[in-house]
Amino acid sequence: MSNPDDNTRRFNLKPGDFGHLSDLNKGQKAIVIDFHNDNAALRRHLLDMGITKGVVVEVKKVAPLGDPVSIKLRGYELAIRRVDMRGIDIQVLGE
Amino acid sequence: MKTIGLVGNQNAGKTTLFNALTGMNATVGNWPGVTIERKEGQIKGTTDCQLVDTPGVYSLSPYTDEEKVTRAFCLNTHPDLIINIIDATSLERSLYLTTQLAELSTDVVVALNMADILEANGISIDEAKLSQMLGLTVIRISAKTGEGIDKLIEVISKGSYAKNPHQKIFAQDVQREIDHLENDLNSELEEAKNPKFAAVKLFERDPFFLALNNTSTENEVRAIETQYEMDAEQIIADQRYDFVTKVKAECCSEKAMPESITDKLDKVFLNRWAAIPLFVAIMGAVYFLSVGLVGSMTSDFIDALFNGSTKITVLYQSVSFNVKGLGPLLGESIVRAGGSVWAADLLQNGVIAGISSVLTFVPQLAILFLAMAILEASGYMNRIAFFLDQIFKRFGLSGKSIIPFIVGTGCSVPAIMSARTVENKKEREMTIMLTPFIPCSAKLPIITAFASVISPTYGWLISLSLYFLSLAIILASALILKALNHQKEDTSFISELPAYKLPNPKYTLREVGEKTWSFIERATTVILFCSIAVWMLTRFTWSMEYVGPSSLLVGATSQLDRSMLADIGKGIAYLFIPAWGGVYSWGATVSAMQGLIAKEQVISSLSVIAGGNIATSMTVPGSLFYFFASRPLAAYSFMVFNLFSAPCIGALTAMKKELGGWTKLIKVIGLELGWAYVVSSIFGLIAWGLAGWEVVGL
Repeated sequence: MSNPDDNTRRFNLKPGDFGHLSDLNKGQKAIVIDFHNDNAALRRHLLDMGITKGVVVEVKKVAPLGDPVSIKLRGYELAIRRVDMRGIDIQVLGE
Repeated sequence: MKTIGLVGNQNAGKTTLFNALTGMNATVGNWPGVTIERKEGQIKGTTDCQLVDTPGVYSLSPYTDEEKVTRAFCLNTHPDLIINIIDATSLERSLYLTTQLAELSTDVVVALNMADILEANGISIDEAKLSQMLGLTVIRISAKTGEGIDKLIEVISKGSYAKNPHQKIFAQDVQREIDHLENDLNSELEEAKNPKFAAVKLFERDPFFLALNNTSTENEVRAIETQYEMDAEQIIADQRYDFVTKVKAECCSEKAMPESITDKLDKVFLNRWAAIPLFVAIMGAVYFLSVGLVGSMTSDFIDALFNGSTKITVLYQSVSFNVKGLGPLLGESIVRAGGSVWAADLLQNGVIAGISSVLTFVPQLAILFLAMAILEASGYMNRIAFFLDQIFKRFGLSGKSIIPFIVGTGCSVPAIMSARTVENKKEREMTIMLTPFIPCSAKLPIITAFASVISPTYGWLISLSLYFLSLAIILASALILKALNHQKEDTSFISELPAYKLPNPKYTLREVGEKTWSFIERATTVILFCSIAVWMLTRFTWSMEYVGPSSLLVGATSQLDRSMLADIGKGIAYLFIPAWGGVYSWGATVSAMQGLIAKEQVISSLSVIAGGNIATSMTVPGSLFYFFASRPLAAYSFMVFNLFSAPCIGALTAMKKELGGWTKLIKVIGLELGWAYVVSSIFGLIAWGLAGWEVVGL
């Protein structure tokens, strides 16, 4: 599993790879496998917005300046900064 | 009287349903949090059902201040019924909230909204099955088209809805622990009034329910957490979503759809290269249409109707237009009927001149309000926040700060209140403090009047330069405040990106009408009162001797410089010599001071002091304010001072409320007056230097 303290973004994750939600490129799909965040209020909010274990997410849109990104989950789109997605561990899904 | 709460996610159509149920007007928007204040109304066709609108929430664990309002309403006021409006196109996220509402001791009716666009989205929902699985009455509606509204009203008024069954939705071991916690509750405590809900919150160790804490169960909760390898909060969220996913799978079927319109539009509006130029073009078009086109067609014309003229400027062309004007007509008829000159002067140059200086801006404001309402309701405003976030966060702000800034071009008061959607406290406070720097609609009269004195042809360019100047000052202030706050980068931006919607013309026009009307109301109350007060102070000495014009004829002699206001202004005016470009002018000084009461008042006051026609007083050599035309940079610095000095009383009151105290408010006023004085003095000193450091008026 990925190291939660390692915040550098990893590019080019392949299907089956593990990483953080913040590492995904536009169009990539992944399944959430764990979720930790030191900011309890933010974590609670993201749980409420549907980021729970096993949910499938897809990076749909990226803001013109590269951040934030819009991820599709549970039938709607959520705009969120990459930095706030670091604590979300994922496994990349195939097409 | 029965209290019925309307609760749902942001963008679920709550405000539209509120309007449809009550027949009352309310603003409809698409950006999260347009419903800020508590709105109430009687449900149509009933005599005892009071509907309360609540701010949109995604759960009963509040994240923003607005969401706390909704939680407090649901838990503490014990409504008789909750109407839970859910967006049928995002069923899972909506039902997550429903599972929490169903734990309250209140009955819940589910209004399944967006029935009109389900088919287009390839979704079909079996509401009988949904009702059965939730144990709640479900009614399919479309708040926009009115479908199902009558049925919803009938069910509410007859009380023919299912009683809250308090379904058990959690896994057995978790549910057993929650039931155990519920049985142990001390029912005397306020927090235990919704026992099922309180038990779940206790399980989650929610800090709001610490008063109920029972240490003996802590070990049992820990054992469950170990077993699930998650903390209690995560277990609850997980199992709620498990239940919701199961419900959705059984009640709802989705066809694969081609790329949605929203995705297609976002390819353009969120395009890497096109997004920001498009945004600039759209805002440019909005201002060109309102201030440029409609403004230049109407403002001179309306002014002529009130104050009379021989020729007016329409679309930057001088047109002959000979009218007497309402003010001069009334003034003359008073004198002819044997009335005294001062009474005629009060009506013509106090009342009519004061009010008309504001009313001339009504048509362009209405267009500006209309454009803003469309941007808001269509969902584009959310996109602006989304793509500007990256820039704004560098300055310690959130992308969501753009919403108050844009609303602030209309009026600072609703803008300051709309800052509540910014989650982080420091970002929110900064947004509130910076919003008054945006040139609001009341500052438009100042901008347009002076811009045309500086250059009749390129006035619009001068107006534009002020918008850029205000942007520069906002960003510089943000950096100063950020440094003062020792702000770290621990903020976040989380926002739903809703599908684009066609605004409902009826509700949009109503909103525009309401906003325009409240502007007119201000003009006829606050401004009228101030205009009369200013007239009094400029026309009389301390011993109440009339020093106004001796007749209503042009060029009649007066001794306004002996008046009370002149005495007050003469003292303060020394301070403003650098800011007014080396001019010692009590008239300009007292007018700027009155901007504190209302910004519209600045121009009204100048025209009352000048004796009616402000344009002549600035452009005809030898007139009272001719220095503005002879030293254009002094006119510019006068504008700058009025744009950036402390906002009006209304905005100050809103700021004090939202910032929660005097200390921060005084900090803001200091910052604003400081900026206004320094920046206007820079332009003023250049003007003064160019005029060879000659002081006018001393």
